[in-house]
Amino acid sequence: MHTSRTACSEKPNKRAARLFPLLLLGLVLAFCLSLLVGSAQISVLDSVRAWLRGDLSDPGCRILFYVRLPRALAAVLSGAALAVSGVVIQNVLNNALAAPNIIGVNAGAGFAVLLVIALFPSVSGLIPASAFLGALFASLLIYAIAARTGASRVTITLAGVAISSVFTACSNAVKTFFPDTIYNANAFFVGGFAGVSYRNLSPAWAVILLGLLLALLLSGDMDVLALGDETAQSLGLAVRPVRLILLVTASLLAGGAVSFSGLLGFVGLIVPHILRRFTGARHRVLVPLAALGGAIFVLLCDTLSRTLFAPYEIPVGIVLSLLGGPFFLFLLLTRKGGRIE
Amino acid sequence: MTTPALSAENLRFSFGGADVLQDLSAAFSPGRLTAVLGPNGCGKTTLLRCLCGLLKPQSGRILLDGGSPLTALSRKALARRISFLPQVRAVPDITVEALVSHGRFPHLGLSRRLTNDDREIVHQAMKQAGVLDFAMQRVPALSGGERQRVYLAMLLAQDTGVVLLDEPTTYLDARHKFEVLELLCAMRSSGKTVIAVLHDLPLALRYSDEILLLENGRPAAAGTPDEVYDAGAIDRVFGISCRRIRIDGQTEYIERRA
Repeated sequence: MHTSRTACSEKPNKRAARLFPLLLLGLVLAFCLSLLVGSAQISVLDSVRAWLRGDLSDPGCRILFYVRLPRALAAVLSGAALAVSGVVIQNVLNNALAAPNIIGVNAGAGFAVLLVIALFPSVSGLIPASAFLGALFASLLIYAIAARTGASRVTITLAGVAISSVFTACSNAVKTFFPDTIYNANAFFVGGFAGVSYRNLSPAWAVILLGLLLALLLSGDMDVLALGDETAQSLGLAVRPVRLILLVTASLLAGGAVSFSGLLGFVGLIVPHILRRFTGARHRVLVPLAALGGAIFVLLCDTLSRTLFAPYEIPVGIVLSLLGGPFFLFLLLTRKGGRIE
Repeated sequence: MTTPALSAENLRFSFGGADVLQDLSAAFSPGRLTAVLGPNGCGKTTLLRCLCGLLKPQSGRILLDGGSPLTALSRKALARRISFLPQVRAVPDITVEALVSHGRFPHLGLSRRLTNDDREIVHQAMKQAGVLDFAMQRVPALSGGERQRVYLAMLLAQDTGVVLLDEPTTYLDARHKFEVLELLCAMRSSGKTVIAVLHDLPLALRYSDEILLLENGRPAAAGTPDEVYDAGAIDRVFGISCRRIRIDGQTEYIERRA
C-alpha cells in the first residue's frame, strides 16, 4: 500500500506540465521528419529556395509543397481530431473501450461520404458536412442504446461493432452500385493520405478546429460528467444537454478527419489510453495532450508507411490497424469491463 | 415552530405502476441532523433523490425554507443550495484536490476557473474532512474510508445549506463509520441541515437529532430518537427488538432479534 502511494505521490499536474512542451517538441520533430523523408530523394533546402524564387516547376519544390506538406498537415489534423474524439466519446459513454472506429462513428461518417460522392460526384464541398452528419447519426444511435438499456461497457462496445458492420455493408452496397464514381473506395476504407491535397483539407480543417475548441471549452464539464450522472447533476451540470454537445463535438472531429483520411482506426483508442497513464483523467490536461499525441502518432505512422517499403507505400490505415488491433485486445483482456480508472 | 429548511408536501412517486412514495409529507428542521430509516425498499433513496431534484415526483411539492418550490430553481441554483452524495460513486483517476474542487462547480463562472476564494474553501473543506494529508494523491490509490472522506470534503466544498447523503457509511469499518457520523454532526453544528439515509440503526439513533422512519413509502414515525424509540415504532417497522442502554454515561442502542 505504502509503496503504491509513493509511486503516484508525484503531482500529476506537474507531470502533465512537463509532458506538454515535450510533446510539442515531438510534434515539430515528427513534422520535420515527415517533410524530409520520402521515396523521392529531394533536397529540402533547394526546394525551399526554388519556392522562394517563385519557381514552382522545380520537381523538388512541387513534391515538398504539394505532396509532403499537405500530407503532413493531413496527418496532424486527423491524428489530433481522432485522438480527441476518442477522449470525448470515452467520457460520454463512460467506457474506456469506446473509440470512434470501434463504436461505428467512423463507419457512419464513411458511409455518408461514399453516398454523397455517389449521388453528387461534382460537389466535393459536401463531403465534410456529410461526414459530420454520418458520424453524428452513428454516435446518437450508440448513445441511445447506452441510455435506453443501461447496457454494460462490453455490451455497448459489441453494439458498436454491430453498427459499424451495418454501415460498412451499406458502404459496400454503394460501392457496388456506383463502381465508376468511387474509383478509390478501397483506399478510403483502409484509410490513408496518399491522395490528399489542400482542396481536401480546406473545409475539413475548420470543422476539426471547431471540434478541438469545443472539446477544450467543455473539458471542465467532462471532468464533472466523469463523476457519474447523479453526482454531476447534483453539482449543477445539465447532464443531457452537455452529453449532446459532446456527441456533436466528437462527430465534428471524427467526421472532419474521415472526410479526407478515410476510415483510420484505433488512434482514438491508443492515444488517450497511453496518455491517461501519465496524466490521469483530468480532461483540461488530457484534451490538449491527446491532440498533440494523436498528431505525433499518426505523423510517425504515416512516415513509416511511406518509407518502410519505399518506393512503394502501404496505406497508414494498415499500420494503425496492425498496432491498434492487438492493443484493443490487450485492453479487453487485461481490464475486464474497461473501466476508466 | 421554526420554518423547515426543506419540506415535502404530499409527495407521490411511482415507478413501473408501483407506488414508491405514497402521499409522503415531511419537514426537516434547519441545523439538525435527520436520519432517514426504514426497511429495504421503503422508498428512502427515492425520497432523497426527490428532495435534491434528481427525480420529479408525480404529484406534491418540495419547498426550500418554506418558500420557493424546488422546481422553480435552475439546476445550478439548486446545486448552490442542496448537495447530494449518492450511494454509488465513481472513482475517477484524478487527485483528491481535483475531486474536492469539483464541489465548487456550481459556484464557478463560464470560464470554469477557480478563484482564490474557491481554493481557500477547497482547502478548508479538505482540512475539515481530514484529507489534507493526501490531497495530491490520486483517488484510486486510497482506501474505502479515505475515499468516503474525500467525497464528504467535496460536499463541504459545495457549501450548501442542505446536505443529503445516501448511506454514507455503507462498506465502511466501525471506526470510519464513527468518523463519518462525527463529520456529519460537525456539519450540522456549523448550521447546515443534514439529511442522511442510514442502514445502521444503533449508529443513527446514537448520533442524529431527528429520525424519519419510513414504511412502504409513508412516514411511520418522526421525531427525536427518544420519541421514535419510546413509541415502539422501530421495533414494529423493522420487526426487531431494539434496546436503549446506558454505557459510561452515554445512551447507546442495540439491535436484537424479536
